[in-house]
Amino acid sequence: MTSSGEALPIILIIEDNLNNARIMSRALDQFYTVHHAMDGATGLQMAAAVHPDLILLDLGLPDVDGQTVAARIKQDIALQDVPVVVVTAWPSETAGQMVAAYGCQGYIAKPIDTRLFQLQIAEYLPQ
Amino acid sequence: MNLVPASQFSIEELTEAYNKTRVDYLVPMPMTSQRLAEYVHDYDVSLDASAVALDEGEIIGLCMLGLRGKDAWVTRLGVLPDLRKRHTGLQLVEYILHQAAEHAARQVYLEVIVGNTPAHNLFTRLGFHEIRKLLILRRPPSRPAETQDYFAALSRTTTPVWLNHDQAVELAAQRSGLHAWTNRTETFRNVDHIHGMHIDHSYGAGWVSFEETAFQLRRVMITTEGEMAIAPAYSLLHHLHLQFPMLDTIAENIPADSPGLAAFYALGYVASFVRIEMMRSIQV
Repeated sequence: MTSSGEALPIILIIEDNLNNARIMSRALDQFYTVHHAMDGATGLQMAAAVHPDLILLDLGLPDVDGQTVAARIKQDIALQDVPVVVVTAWPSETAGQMVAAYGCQGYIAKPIDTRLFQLQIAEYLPQ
Repeated sequence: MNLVPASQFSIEELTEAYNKTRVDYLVPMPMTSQRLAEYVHDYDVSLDASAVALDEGEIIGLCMLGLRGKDAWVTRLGVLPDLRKRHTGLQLVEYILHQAAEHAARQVYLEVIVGNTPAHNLFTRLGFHEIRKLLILRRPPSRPAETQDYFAALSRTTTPVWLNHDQAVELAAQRSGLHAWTNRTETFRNVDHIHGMHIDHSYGAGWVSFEETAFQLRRVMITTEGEMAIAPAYSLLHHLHLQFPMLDTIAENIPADSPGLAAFYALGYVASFVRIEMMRSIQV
């Protein structure tokens, strides 16, 4: 909750690596309500439950991969307008192709720069 | 450090170890235990012949071996990031190659992602040579556009015949040429949910295999007859995606010189990454 009583924007991190998720969460949790899912199926359930303002999506998930998760989000009428930003260590050309093909809004390269991460995220959130 | 058979560990232990060794991989592909168990089953991986590297009782690396008659397949090689550069990978693969020989294999195959230079160098050092490039293609869900181009018009003149698992296996067994390990007939037999679709086309007949899951269409592979492969390939994919417009699709290990490849791109597939298939012989 902000000091004026408004709810903080909600960010959902779908990331199987706990260390990566913690780093992202710590960089954001002062200004956002952050939720975390460790796999694709849980991520989809959580997205439907919390209706985030932004989804940060890893491509390499253990159960169903990030591309398929992005596709399911874009097919869900309730979630299709939620910005999806891929956070990945994939080579930039490949990451860019997948982002474009699956209708994601952008990508951020791993390892993230915690000094820049908030600014990078803010770009994808409604002002 | 000592090497022991992977069968001494549970699937859960192997999965945890595998995921830790790949955490910084070029294209991380973590697995759940269920997925690793399916992988072992589908691709005839022998856990007895596969190896785990232990250091003071802890798993620091692993490498798996698929066995199918005279052919073997090296897969899932990984060493913990902080413990590399100690020749653990080299020893794992040497152990696996010895196991392949012990199981009467005469050819050993593997795939390495383009850009994974350390792995490529390791396998080259161990006598493997490149045989071709294989593509991993993805297609986001969408209904194929009803265009008026030539191949689309031809596609509308064909009628798909849907095949059950046994029919798909029978057609797979009739294919000629070398297929990537994941796409061989034995995989078709092992994976119950692989089905197919056949068409007779004015440019030659063809069929496509696929596995439908809750979220994905997987194992999409095309076999065509005739010289103008793109025409039946287009029709097959067109009908497939008319039938399953809402599923995200993966076509894995499609040869980069596949005659029907242009049809994949025409129907909305994009290449996600590329593997190099390598092979070496085992001297008797």
